[in-house]
Amino acid sequence: MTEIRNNNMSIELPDWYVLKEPGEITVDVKNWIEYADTRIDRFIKGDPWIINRPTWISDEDWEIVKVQEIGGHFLLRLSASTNQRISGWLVEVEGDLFEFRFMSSINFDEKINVLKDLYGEENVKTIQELNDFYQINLYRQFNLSDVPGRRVRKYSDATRRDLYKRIAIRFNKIPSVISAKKALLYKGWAVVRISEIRLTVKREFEKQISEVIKKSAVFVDEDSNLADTIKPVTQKITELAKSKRMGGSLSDFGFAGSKEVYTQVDCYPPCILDLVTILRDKGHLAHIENWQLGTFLKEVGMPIDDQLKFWYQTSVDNVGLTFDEFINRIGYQIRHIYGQTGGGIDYRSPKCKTCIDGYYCYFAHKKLEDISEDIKIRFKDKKEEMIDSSIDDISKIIVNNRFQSACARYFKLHTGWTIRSGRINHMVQYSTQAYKRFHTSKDKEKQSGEKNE
Amino acid sequence: MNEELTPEIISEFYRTKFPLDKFMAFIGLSDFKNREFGFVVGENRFIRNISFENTKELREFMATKSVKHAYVGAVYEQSPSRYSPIQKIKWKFREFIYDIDINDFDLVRTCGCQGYSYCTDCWSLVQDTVLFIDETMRQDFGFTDIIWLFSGRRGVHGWIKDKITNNFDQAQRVAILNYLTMVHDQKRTQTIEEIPNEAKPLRDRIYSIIAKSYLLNSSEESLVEIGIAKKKAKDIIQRVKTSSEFDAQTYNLIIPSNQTVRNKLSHEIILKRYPRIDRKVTMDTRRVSRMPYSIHGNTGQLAVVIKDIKSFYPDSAPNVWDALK
Ligand code: SF4
Ligand SMILES: [Zn+2]
Repeated sequence: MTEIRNNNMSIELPDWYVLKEPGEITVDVKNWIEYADTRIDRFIKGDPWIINRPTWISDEDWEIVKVQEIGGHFLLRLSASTNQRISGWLVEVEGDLFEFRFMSSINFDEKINVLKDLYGEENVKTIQELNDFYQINLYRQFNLSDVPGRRVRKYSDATRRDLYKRIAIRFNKIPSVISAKKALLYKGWAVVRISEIRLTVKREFEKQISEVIKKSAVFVDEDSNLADTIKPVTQKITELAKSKRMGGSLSDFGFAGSKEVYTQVDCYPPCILDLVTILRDKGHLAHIENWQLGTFLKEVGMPIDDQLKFWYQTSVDNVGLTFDEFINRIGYQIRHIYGQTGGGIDYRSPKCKTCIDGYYCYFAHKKLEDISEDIKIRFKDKKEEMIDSSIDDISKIIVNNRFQSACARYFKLHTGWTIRSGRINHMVQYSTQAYKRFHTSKDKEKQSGEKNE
Repeated sequence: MNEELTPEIISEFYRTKFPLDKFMAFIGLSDFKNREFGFVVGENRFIRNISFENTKELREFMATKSVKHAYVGAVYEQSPSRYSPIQKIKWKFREFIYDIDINDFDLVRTCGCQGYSYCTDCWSLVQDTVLFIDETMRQDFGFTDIIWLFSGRRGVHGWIKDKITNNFDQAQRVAILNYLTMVHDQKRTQTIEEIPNEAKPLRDRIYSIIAKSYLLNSSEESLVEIGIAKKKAKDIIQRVKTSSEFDAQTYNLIIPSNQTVRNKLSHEIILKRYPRIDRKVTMDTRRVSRMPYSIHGNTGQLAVVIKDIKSFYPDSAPNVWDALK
């Protein structure tokens, strides 16, 4: 028997909202696992189920639906917390589901309550509240209407009307919307159509849910019964994550890892350079980051023995392990990556999109301040104007959450080459292109040709 | 310039006339020890990562070293020094600052001035920019504690001192900048953004402050070139000159409704007169900027607070020789 404890809610939230405090729920373990299972199945099928209370349902039955929803998610959250690799998967699927439900809900108050929960009650107001507070009439003063500017086919009419309604959020909570001038600003309040904030809201939800998942690891650590309960669920998600969502195949991107790229550290993407630096400084990385770095190095051609040496030298020699001891212990994961242990799977490195959602992407996860400092130091030999305009461009792109495009812009500063699609899709793509630029024979010929002139 | 700016004069100014109290009131008393300062000393040597135990030390430093330029930066968790430079210590907060310089408008100045020279015509670009940003900060963002400082040469600095801005990270600062920016890549391609639909107050402000100055400075011929009939052009200029209150409504009333003409005109208005800001200064939370009330080492002028930008001209700003008289 497991009990989910309750806090009193200050505002009423919709029952599909998984960050909601669950209230007092009692479930027995067998059902609990079943709920989690159902939820996983729906994620696999891509079935965006909606919870709306039908008029005919009895109170008790409705309670069960809620318990399934909140309880099922809660168990998934616990299961994912023990493994950072799969928590990325959970964040991604829960994020998609959240977005769908938020956008398709036809209850406007429901949306407002979700926003208040995400951004803090003091940072969200209805237009009516704002009008009362400032003694104005925003709609009249600025000649606003709720009629959409363009046609949207995807949603029903009622939904659509909702999406074009406006609410007010403190401007500093939604920088990307301010940046794009998609809000009417009044005294620090961004008066904005729901349709304009959908992506920002989703990102905020994903950020918060991944924090909550991280925190739930504590429950599992403290309770060995719980640890046993979640085991089969964890296993199921792991299998799933392996087969479906994670580890994008390189052939999707129209190139394959080149064999010698790994010898040229200057061709590594910024995320990997950072991981190497952290490894050097701290002596270790989080498990998930080990995985990202390990699969990357493998894919740019580093042989397993070299990689074992690399990890030994960079990460652990200060701990006093001998190489053999190291191979037996930490080396396990690296051999795993090369398919020499475990299920014998030849693992691929994650795509940028996956890095952004659950691994480490330099542009998505590092503070803007630090990125600009880094750039100044790394490219100090380039013209100052060039650096400044690059930093400026990159920050503009980052605040609009287009991290892979920011990486392409960084690539341009780094190599002088433009990525045609405008975005980096894969860490290995970054490296092979940079390698082409700096180290292929064709390029060398050109350089020497220039000298002869 | 009046006379030569000697180390003795600088030293005397910082010892006897520099308004330390006002300066402290400006940056706030808290965390003084952890505030970064930067100076140009001796033969143009720029030094950073400097902090002081108290204001006495600060005054003493500036006087004995006869600092040519003085700058103030962010506050950190520890006192910045040579041994704990700002890259190695934790950033705590920084005011939100704008830097506006007349030479940012070089590509669109038509009066013939370039670089540091100015006349009342082109200085009005800076004046409008200040008015525009000031109003945007107050009306749109709800800030209230805004001070404009003379940079000491040909520009002004806007300090938004509302507490909430101190902790803004770079993303939040960039967002405000992007909201304000209509001319991209302003030193080269000068790409103009379309006038926003949702950001109505910003749009209305363009049609009042910026459009008014543009039309006041336009000739009939230039409006005709855009596609406005001669008689109408004459009428427009007349109306702008005589209307006491020029706002977005007036603009919409007097400008012909032909969409092509309107688009062309607003493009011109923005290109020629819309605010141009040095983005680096606002974005970079670790940058140092000119210390309020200090001497500009090249002109001898003082970085004073500007009370009314409409009547402020660089040449009329006080200088160190006046101060010592
Ligand atoms: S976009 Fe991809 S390659 Fe670039 S930093 Fe992010 S994860 Fe790395
Ligand atoms: Zn001039």
